[in-house]
Amino acid sequence: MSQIPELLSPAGSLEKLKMAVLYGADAVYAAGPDFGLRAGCQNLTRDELLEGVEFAHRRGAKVFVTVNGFLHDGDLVGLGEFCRFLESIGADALICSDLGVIETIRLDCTLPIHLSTQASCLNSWAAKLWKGLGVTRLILGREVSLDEARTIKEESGLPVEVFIHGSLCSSYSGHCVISNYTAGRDSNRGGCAHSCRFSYALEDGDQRARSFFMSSKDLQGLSLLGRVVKAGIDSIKIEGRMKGPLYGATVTKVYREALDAWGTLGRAPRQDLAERWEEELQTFSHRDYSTGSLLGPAGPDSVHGHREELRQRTHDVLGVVAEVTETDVLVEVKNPFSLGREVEILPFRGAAIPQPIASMKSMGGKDLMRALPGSLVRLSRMEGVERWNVVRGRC
Amino acid sequence: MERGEGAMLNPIVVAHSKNQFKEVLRDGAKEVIVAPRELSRFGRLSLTQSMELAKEIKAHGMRPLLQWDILMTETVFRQKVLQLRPLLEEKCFSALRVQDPGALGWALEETDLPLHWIAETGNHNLKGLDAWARLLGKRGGRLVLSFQLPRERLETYAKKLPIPLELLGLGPILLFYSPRSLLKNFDSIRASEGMVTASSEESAHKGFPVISNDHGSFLFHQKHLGLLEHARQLQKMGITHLRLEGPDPSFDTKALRWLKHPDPKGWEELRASYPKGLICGFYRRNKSDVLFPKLKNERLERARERALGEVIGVEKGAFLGIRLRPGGHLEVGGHYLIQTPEGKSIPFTLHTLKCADLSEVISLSEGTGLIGPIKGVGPGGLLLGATV
Repeated sequence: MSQIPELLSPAGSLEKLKMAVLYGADAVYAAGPDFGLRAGCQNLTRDELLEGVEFAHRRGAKVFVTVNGFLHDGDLVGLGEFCRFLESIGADALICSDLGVIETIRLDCTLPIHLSTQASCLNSWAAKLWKGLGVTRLILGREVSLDEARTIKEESGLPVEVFIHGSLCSSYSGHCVISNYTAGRDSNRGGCAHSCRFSYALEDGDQRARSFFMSSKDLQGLSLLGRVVKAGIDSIKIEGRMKGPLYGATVTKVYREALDAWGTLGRAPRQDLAERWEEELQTFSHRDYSTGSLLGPAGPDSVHGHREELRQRTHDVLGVVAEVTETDVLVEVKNPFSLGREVEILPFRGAAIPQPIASMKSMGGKDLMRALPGSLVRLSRMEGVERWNVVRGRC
Repeated sequence: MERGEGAMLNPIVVAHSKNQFKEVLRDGAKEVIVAPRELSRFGRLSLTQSMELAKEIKAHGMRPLLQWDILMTETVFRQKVLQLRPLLEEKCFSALRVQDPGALGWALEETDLPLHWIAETGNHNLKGLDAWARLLGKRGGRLVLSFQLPRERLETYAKKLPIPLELLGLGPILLFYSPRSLLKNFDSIRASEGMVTASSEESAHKGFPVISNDHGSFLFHQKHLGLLEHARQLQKMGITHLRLEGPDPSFDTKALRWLKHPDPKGWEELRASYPKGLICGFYRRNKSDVLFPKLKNERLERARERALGEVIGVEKGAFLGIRLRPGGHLEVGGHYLIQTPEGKSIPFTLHTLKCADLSEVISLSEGTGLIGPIKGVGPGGLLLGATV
């Protein structure tokens, strides 16, 4: 069996944390209410972090907590105490990008420190410098190729983590402050306004063009897992704490199954499996895919070039299984669907289970023709369905 | 180095040619940045030209500073080190300026030149800057500070940091740096000299200059940073060096002359003749601090910390479905509150309670419970104990 990397999934809420672990993540990354880079995300309260850590640990998964904003002096207040709290509940590591944050943390706790991609660690000399400053794992800048990642690992002696799937910034991480000046929102403290996704009119004298020239395609590295394994990458990371449950569940599941296949076989899995996984990665909303810089510097074909509204998907998330009783499946409805529709249950392992909705009742037991968001509905119990399974339907 | 009242504020300029250097020579600059095209984001000199210029600068009693400010992946880093070594072996530079942490790490081991750590990105707290300063050690280093730091913070840092500090005093505000050639898809658009501008309908700001070269793509604010009128204040604070990067050498010269004899009228004349608008950016206040706290709903955050559960489904007039959290407990006869997402607190007494399978229970400590309807409560409401 080949040594396979850890699968690290996003956990933008407690719900998403649980789903990521159940769908096969070896580790999840989440943030508390403060100090992170996703201020617009729900993030987790202290109680939720405690619950999340206990949930993950019971299932053999780790929890890394992000404190990766480029914090100002006033923002550091309370950081030490928060880190001591995280250590007391058993969090497995902290993800940081700022040297002042690292210095503060090292005074107050002994948790391992992972260097965030936000710090743009791109080469082995930077890796060695950060190692000397107390970092114990590198989340490499997304401009680093897999071959370079291997070199950095060998030269520095530090474990390396690379992004394998999700949205990409086209700027070096930490080196975009457009929204700081245009919207008064600090992009490096969670306020990024996604200015790179806007349409721009380019002018050069009398030459004009209109384009989304800064908008990057999404990263999709599924076909490169063999190279990831050969390069000895320690962890592959899925971007997306702010994305919905269908995204998190599906991407985690696909990469879990793919990694397990590589681990068992030591070679590329069967073509039909690979095709199924590729189809799964089309089910949720995404920009055009590219391999980013995993094989070499991202070229002009890495630009998305479209409006955000023109993202593709084949499925909608319809709900999440809230409870399974002896006779029913209680679904928390996220998008409307009607009696008679064929839905798919996404199990934690294996192919999606198609299920026509032959009967549907309200949570109180009344017959229903249509399920609406914000409700709980009862479907007949199906084989293989478990609590926290995603329910989806074709668009 | 002397700082504060009575100490000099040392201007630094960037020389892209021998002629440009000769202009600033007359006007009192003591330090000149030499930016090779291969090693610097916006450099225009070849490696040979850089070496020759550095020697000439030194011969005139000034300090040539070698700019190596690009960010580099492993492959590029190894190439650049091969190009850099011959420059350093000539020993014609007085200091090395770097912005990639790897370049800093390499330089700390491989050279004994004083190092200027360009901390213009992030680095907005004293703890971090102090740590960088300690790393630079006793080599006569310098920190180049972020232009997002407001006056108060600069004053504090200048008092407490044991190292010379540099600030951009006049010049472009870099907003975005990508390694990708983002304009390559547009044959008709030239991008090498900042001639291209980008404007978005989704922002009030128009005309961002864009440069695309071998090191990537760069987008700038449409105005330049202009802090010269605050030079005296900066000097009193203890900022030791002010960098001038005007759009052409004539403005650096004007700025140098003005700094020797600063006066409001002269500043207004310089400002009026400057081809770009000048702003002081975040010098008075970092405006990104203003909206930052507003991204969160504090009341909801506090309620989530204390919540026993969450409303995840509503059957109008019939039931509320509540997902309980660990430690959460529902008991018939108990008194509770629902806090709605809009912030309303609705008290209620629990009269009936069912499990997910619709069986009646007296109490529930996990999973999903069904309680009777409560007017005004929808999904997302938080269940709290009534004593809160």
